[in-house]
Amino acid sequence: MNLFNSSFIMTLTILTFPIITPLTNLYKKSHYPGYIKTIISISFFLSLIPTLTMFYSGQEATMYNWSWLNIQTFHLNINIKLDYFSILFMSVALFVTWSIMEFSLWYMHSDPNMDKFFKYLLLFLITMMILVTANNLFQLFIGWESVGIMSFLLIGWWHGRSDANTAAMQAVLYNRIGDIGFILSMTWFLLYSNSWDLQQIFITQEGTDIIPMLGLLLAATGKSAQFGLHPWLPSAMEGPTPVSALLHSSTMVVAGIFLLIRFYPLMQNNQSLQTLCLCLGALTTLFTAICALTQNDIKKIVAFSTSSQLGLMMVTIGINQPHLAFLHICTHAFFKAMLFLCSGSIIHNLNDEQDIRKMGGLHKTLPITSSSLMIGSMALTGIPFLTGFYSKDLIIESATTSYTNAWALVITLIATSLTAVYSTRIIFFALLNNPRFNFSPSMNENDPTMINPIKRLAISSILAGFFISYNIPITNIPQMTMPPYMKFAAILSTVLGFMIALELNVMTKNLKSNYSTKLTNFSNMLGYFPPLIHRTSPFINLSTGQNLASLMIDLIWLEKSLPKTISQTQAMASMYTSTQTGLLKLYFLSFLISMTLALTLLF
Amino acid sequence: MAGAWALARGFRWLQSTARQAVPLGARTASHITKDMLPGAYPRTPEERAAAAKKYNMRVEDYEPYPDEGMGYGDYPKLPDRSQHERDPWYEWDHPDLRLNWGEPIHWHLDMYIRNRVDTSPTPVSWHIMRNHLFSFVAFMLFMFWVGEMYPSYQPVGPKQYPYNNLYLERGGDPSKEPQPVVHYEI
Amino acid sequence: MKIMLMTIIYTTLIMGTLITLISSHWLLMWIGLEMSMLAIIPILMNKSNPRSTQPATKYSLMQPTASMILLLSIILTMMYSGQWSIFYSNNTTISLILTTSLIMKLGLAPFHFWVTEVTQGTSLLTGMVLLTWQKIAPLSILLQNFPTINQPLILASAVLSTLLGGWGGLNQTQLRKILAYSSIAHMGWMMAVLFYNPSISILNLVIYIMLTISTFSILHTNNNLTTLALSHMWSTSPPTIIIILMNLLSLGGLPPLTGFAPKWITIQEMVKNNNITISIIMTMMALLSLYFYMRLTYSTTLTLFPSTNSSKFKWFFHNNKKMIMLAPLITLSTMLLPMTPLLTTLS
Repeated sequence: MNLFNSSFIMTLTILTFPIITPLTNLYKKSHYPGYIKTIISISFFLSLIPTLTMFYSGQEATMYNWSWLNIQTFHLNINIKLDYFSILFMSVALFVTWSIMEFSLWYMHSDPNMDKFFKYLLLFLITMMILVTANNLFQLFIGWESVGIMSFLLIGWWHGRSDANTAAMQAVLYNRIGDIGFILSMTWFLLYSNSWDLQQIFITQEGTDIIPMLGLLLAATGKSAQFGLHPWLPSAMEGPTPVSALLHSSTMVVAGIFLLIRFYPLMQNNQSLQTLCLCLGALTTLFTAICALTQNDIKKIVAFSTSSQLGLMMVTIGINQPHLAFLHICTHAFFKAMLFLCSGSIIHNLNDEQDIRKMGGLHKTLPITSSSLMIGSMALTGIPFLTGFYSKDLIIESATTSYTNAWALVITLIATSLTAVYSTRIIFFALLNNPRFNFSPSMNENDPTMINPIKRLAISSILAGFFISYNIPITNIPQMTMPPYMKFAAILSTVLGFMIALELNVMTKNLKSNYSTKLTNFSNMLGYFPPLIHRTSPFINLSTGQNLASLMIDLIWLEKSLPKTISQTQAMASMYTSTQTGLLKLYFLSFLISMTLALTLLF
Repeated sequence: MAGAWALARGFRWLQSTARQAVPLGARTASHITKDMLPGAYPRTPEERAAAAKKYNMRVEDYEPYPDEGMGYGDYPKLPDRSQHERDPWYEWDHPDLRLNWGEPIHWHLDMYIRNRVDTSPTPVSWHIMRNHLFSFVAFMLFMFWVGEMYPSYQPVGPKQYPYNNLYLERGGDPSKEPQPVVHYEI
Repeated sequence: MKIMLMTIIYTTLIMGTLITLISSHWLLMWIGLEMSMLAIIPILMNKSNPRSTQPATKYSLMQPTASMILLLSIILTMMYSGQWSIFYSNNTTISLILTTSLIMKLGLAPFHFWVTEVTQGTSLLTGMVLLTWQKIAPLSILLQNFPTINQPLILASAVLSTLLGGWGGLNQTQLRKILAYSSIAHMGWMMAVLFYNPSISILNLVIYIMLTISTFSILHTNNNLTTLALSHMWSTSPPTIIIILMNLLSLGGLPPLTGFAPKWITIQEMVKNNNITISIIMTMMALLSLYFYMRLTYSTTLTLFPSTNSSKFKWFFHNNKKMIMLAPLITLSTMLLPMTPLLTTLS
């Protein structure tokens, strides 16, 4: 086993140390959260070895460790896939998590269960690692489910609040819907490929069958919060800010997209599924961008921007560019984590104030946070030569040069410009102009555990995109030479969005503002989706359940048709057969009839 | 003193256990006694009044479920409102259920407890919300269909590379001078 | 004189059955049957009142009919084979007539009406003799002739017996009638397996006789004739209600008790012979019988019927009807199931 494999395994293995050490006495002496943070940073540096090796020589590998179980001809091994996706994703996730952990040291310092919180975060990361490194569907499923469980625990961290509980429940329930699809696909592959190994599935299947592909799409829709199963994502903002950062950058929500990327050898043969992905992604990216426009909660805006970016990733899958989607996952992780850390810094410094209308002028009081927030927002909108540009621009270009659904393309471009609009809105309301909050003397950004991660992520938000996209392998369809208007489509729509947003935001300086129209409510109430669906579906399910199962079944099956019918028939039969008159004539008649019957039957 | 205290405690303990103990004859297998089940459907005004009194309601408020064989009997048909809607700051006898003691309970209370079906009023009325969302989704689906009918197909050319389109990298003959490739026009 | 008469009558009763059991000559078999039949008639009208002459009349009309038909089949056999010994023929007429006559004698399903009436009209002990000892002789003829008997007829009769035995018992409060119906149902189980494995029928009969004797004995000890009397048993003899509960459940064939063994083995034997449908039907019908046994136990042990105060003081009138062998019989009729492995010797 060479350095490549061993360092990769080491990266994974040392992550489990902090889970084992509390069983020993070693743990008592050290500061446990700090220990976890150090372990993750060490793990990150270790993970650079396989990453750089892979960049340098393009080395990939699959490790078969041991046979887990054999059921007749079906073999299940623990095997790990070390390909471009898993290696790069591990490095990115470890880097981002390292920063988030360090930030949590500051953000969660007053929490009584801080050790547990860090352990949860670490477990969340480990389960995501299991998910991305899995080479068979079973391991992938373990990671998939554990990520769901950990997200439930973390979103519901402040479980004393009913909102947090509701949000955690929502996350679990929506993910369960997605799991139906995943299990469907697993079953299908087991039936038709007799294997859960990815390689064997890719060899034996062509991907032309729509059922497993639809199952995978449903799974991805649930996990990555695509339209229809999206409401849990903004609700998940009830969790602590580091959780949101981790959830939205490098774990959980990208798992759905990652699943589709893993299955691209099958996806690329299925034209109808790609169209479906494209339309679903485009609808998601537009819908959530619209929702983000009128939100006032800073975390909600960032959450919706994540949802919008996930839609963009789905669009990328839809135009058959899985490598670009993966590139966007990686670049997105840096600036999205940073945006959350910045909002965490702001929220904490303003004494838990999340409403952007009650901020303002923060660039004076929190300069580093503000500059990082701006860098992050610009990277998000795809300003040239920041990290977001390298992936986003490429995606839009690929989309425009493809032979593809015109409307999906149009609304993707609209959503791109809306990204600029809501990013400007955060910057304008939170950072610029005059303060609109009660000033507290404790506002500062002196603590290195808060500033260092933000700075680290800010630098990577500027540079990481270049390094990663520089080392991207040849994509499925190379970029074409295109006319200037297509080349500039992405940047032009972004700039347009910026300008419109500035114009609109300046209107806040008017003394009197117009009343908002009815249509604003559509955006502000999240497209009316949660109130409608969250009331209708439980009502239908519960009332049908009560009426059908409890009342009807009880009355018909358990009361009338079985016990009552049986007792009545038996009682009646008993009456008819045993009512005796004591007449001998009758007995002899029965002899006669029986004898005659028997004789006629037999002869 | 201590003896009196112990005696008082013991007496109280006896009282509480006696209250918890269920008399043997009063228990059925399903734990539902005849008194717990709703009575027959009230047909005369007198029966209605008696039923209303039985359920702690005023006669004007009392309205039984329609008699259609679902086993509701004389149980009152209460408005379909969720408990979530009720005042959270009032001192309810059961704060978790937001119910008072002896208050008639909705037949489908299971469905209307606080974290299930919510019927609290919304800023925008129900049918407007429904129409807007459905028309949005329907419009999107229609436009996707249109977009599928008339796909976007922009003019593109093959990707261009430096070094005479990677002449040497593509295994060209180094001894020969390649045809210069011009990517621009003046 | 009275004692002399009774001795002769009882000796005839016993001798008749024994003659049937030991003889291999058809005519002697028939004579044995007739002897025991004639001997039981005076016993039936032991107490000379109209209530007991009625069953005696019924019995003396039913049984000779059956005997005559049996004699017909014997004569036919003689004509067919030219000999009086048991002869396995495949003549359908003979087998049909033979089977029918024996079914009549045993009181099986289509000809079962007289059994309940006769049992109800006599005293408990006479009923016990009627339902146990009188079954042995006809059954022994059936067992000896099992290759000859008509299989469809006997199976149909068996299923009908369990069904009508179950249904009949549902509608009764008189204990003697209930036991008569129980006897019909048990006879059905014996008939069902007779064709496949006669040894199991014998086992069935033996266990049935033990159960019935012990039940009748318990009832006789306290002179219980109705369900109501049974529900007052707690005041005279509390341990009896537990014993009678176990006995009745054993009659119904519930697993930890002896009564389960014959049902179990019977079902197993029938399933082995691919007769699954009939075994399923009979098992379901056994539920009906079980229901009325359960109802008896319910009224005996679990509830108190509304009754006058004086009836609760039955213990005041202590009666001293002691039954012999009651304890070992009860033990055998409830706790014999662990001995089931011994049954491997049967097959």
